[in-house]
Amino acid sequence: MNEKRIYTKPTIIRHTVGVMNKYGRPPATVPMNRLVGYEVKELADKYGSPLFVLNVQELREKYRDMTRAFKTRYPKAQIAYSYKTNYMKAVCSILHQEGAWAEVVSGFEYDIAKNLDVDGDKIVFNGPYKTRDELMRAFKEKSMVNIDNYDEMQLIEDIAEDMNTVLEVGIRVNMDLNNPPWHKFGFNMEVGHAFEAVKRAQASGKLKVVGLHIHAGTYIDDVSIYSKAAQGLVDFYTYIKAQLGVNLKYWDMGGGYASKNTLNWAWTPAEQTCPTFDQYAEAICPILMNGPFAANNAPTLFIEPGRALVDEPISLITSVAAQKRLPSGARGIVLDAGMNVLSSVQWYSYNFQTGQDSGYMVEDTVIYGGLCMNIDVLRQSASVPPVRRGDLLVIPHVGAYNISQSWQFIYLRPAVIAIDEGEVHVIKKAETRDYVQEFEDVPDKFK
Amino acid sequence: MKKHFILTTRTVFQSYGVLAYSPHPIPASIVLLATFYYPVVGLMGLIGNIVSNLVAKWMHANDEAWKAGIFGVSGILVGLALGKYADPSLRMWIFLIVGAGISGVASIMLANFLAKYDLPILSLPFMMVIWLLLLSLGITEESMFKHTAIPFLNKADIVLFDWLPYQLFEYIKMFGSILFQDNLLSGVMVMIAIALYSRLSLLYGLWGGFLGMLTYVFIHGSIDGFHGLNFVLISLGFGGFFIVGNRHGFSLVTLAVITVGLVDAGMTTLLTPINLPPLVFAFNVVTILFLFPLKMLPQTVSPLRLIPIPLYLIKSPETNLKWYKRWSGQTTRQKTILTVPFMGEWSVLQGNNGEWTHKGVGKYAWDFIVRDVRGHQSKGFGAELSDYYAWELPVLSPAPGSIYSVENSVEDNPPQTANTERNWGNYVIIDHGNGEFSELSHFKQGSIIVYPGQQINRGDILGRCGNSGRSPVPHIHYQLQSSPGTGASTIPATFAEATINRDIHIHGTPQKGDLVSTVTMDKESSWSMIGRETESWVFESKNGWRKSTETLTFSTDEFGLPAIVSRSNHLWRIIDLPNFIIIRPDFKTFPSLLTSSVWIHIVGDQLVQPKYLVDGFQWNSGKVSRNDKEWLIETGGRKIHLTDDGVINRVTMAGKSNLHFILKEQIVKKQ
Repeated sequence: MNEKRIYTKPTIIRHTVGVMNKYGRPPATVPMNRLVGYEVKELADKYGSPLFVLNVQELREKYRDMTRAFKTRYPKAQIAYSYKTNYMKAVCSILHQEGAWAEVVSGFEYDIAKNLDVDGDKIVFNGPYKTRDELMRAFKEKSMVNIDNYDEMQLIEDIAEDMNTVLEVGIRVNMDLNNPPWHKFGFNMEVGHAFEAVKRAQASGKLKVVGLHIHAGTYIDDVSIYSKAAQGLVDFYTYIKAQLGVNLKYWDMGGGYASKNTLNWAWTPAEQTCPTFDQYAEAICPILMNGPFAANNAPTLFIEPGRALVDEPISLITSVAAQKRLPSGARGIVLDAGMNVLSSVQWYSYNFQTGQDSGYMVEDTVIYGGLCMNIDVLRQSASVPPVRRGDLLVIPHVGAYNISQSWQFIYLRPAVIAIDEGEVHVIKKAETRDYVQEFEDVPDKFK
Repeated sequence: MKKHFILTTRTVFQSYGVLAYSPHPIPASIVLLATFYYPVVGLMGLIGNIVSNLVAKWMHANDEAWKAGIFGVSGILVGLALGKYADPSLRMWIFLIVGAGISGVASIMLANFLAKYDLPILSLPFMMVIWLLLLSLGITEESMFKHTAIPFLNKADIVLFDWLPYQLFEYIKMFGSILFQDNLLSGVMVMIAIALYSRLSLLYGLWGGFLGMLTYVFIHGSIDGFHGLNFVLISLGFGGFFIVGNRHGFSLVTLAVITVGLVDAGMTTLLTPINLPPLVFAFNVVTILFLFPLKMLPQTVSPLRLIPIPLYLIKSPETNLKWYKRWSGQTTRQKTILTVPFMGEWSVLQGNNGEWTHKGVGKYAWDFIVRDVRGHQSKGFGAELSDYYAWELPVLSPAPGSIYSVENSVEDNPPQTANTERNWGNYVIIDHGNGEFSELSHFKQGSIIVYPGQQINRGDILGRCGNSGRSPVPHIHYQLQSSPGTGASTIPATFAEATINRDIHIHGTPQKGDLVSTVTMDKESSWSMIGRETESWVFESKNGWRKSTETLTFSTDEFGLPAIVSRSNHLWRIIDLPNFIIIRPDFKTFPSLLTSSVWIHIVGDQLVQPKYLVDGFQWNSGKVSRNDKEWLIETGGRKIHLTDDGVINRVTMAGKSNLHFILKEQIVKKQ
């Protein structure tokens, strides 16, 4: 064992910093000291860490940009914001100010919309599970309801009978678009279920089909999938129009539009792969324009973006709780935010950028969340410059799903602030123990 | 009873106003006073007026026309003329009442007959009655009775007669002669009355009278025996009253006055042997002679700019001129109803009279581009054509028509360069079938999907926005032009229901830098004025105390386009825009005063309504609101109340509390 190891000449490896290589983005050495004009440190000091920060102007611009892209290509296009991606009141309100309708998938979300004074006839009610009371309310308030299954259709026929009227409904349809195909929502077109469903609804005498809804999937960065879906709708509409005399008032392309977050299994960063709104619109609208209608009498096109609108305008400020060296030799850092506020780490390889000036020597680092759970890993390997306990990291593009899916688990959920025209507004206070335990009780017997 | 008395009094006054083309109470009272130079004669006129009007009322004359006072005119004239020719014996009073009665009947007969042609009855009934009376009673000029004038007025007249030059005296007296008065004071009063109502009228009257005197002298060799009433009447009538008082109208007045001179001279020669005075025969005949062909001409193609005014719209010459300007701005210059040739919101890079290329005959053109929320027209530096937001966007047909010609082969230029050899690049020219053509330019090479001869509708996709021809950045060039070649002379145009800087304009002319888009309504409602399921609506209309029933029936016009037919087969064209409906009276078959209805007041020269009801929806001349019970559309002083189902329920008009229009019945189409 005393063999002499082979000598290798020492070499100096050049660290390249700040340059985009063929496959990736530049290392996260460019610090993100400021967010929407404010010092990150100042925000963290004042409102605590972790902290979600919404850039209101960016959110508005996203909406306007998407509207422009679709409205310049289709005569009547309307965005219905997918509530589930982030149904914070302030976020929804801003989008409604811009003119968005609400796309809700449960009675709870419906209630949020009504509470924000959204008119019933500006709510699109989707989702595979809707109760009788919720449906009744939606029809009374003239919402657009898209039927997911026969049980629901039966229920709505009953409601139509109760209300003694013919109800206008949309039918959710699906087709093979991705691998594996999304067959969960609505009736399949290829095997004829969708046609049967429309036929049944029309024949019932209680329903009138005025809409079609297709949801192609989620985080779709291949626009050709939308083209296929649009072609599917056009073919299906042409068929049901000829066979059943259906005249659509709207068709709904659903959601699934991507944002600039790289998926865990993706090779190229999302900055390069994420299509622009113009590309999505170009993939959808010209095909829909071939539908069986006169140009000045097109059915309204609905799109239901969520992620594409709210993901990028929101960032998360976290702070470094500890650093450690792993047995593999890799560096690990522990943050004060974990999967409890960042559930999307299952999908996304988030970007971690320092919130203050730092050294330039990046190192592959394992990033752990703060939960006392082995699974709480935010990123297996990220290029992070040297940081110390108490340093801030900024994670951009965290607006979709994270806040609505966040759990109160081990820690309290953090505050959310919105920065608009230089002003900071707290749109959600940090949770307190009292708030979390508000509905709990300890019977005297247990004391 | 009291109400009837007041109404009748008003109508009686109004009749005096109509006599001097000044239908307003104040001038009317002055005219009334002017007839009392000889008190007995004035009284005869008044009684004739009242009798004639009451007879017309009793015979159920059209309410609107009756209130306008046209049925009393002949009665007044019968009274004044009888007073002039006959002694005021009991026999004469009886004949006056009978004559005025007949003139009331004759007025109704003629009014209904002439309404078909939208012609006024003028004083034709008077001519019928007075000749009948003069002939049957054997009254001649020789038997003319000398009435006693009010003494001090008479004295004043005599003094003035000595003082003024003879010609001037005759000139002023001429105005009084329209009331068969032979004195200076009546003339002055009539002039004052006319001037109060319209200065323009007075000028026309003065000019016509002067020209008439010259004509008379030219025909007869001297001014002896001059009577100028026909000249005054004809020049007032054509001076902005029956036709629009523009410079073409002025020429017509001149021609008409000379014609009147000839007709009057001829009639005098013809009638003297049988002892009949020609009175206002010349005026009546020449008015009908000139007005009739003008009314029959299709307005929009008339090469002349002689525009007769629909009788029901006639107001003072000044108001008529304003009406004409408004109306001509809408229909005569631009016949095609254009909507913007793109989807979504675009920005005007160069407008009409633009600083770069929209000059000379090409000045009424627009260049449109797309800008993002930050105002940039491209992503990044715009090095590639595909960076520009407008690139490849669909370009639409602004109006229905057929494709006249297409160029599809010109290569697109790289950004910031222009092909000045093939200026228009790839283009589409659309023939709208009415002598107007649309030219759209700078399409992407090979993107045009229409072919010459193809029929297209409003909003059909023609091709895609490109950068061919004289185009440094992808944009749409649009112009409406009067001939089919490229770069032809442009026509000033407006876009219908365009949103300009977020304000909806029914007729919009966007300027440089403006953001322009089509109107897209947020919500759809079941309501549509066109009423695909409705065949007709029956309304109860009330105008003052007179109630009647009006039925509006949905129909089609001669082109198969939607239209409304109201009373007496009058046609109302419906312009069916994507989000608005404009209802306009058809100016060729326009309804006359005599068949007028409340509906005519409601529509006016155009009625604009949004098709879909959205609370708070506004455009530049109206808005929609919603209260507990009903929808309310406020537009141009009209308030249209609609039920939840969007059916017109009730219409009221500002400042006209005694006018209403209430839905009685909706007749649904049989399937």
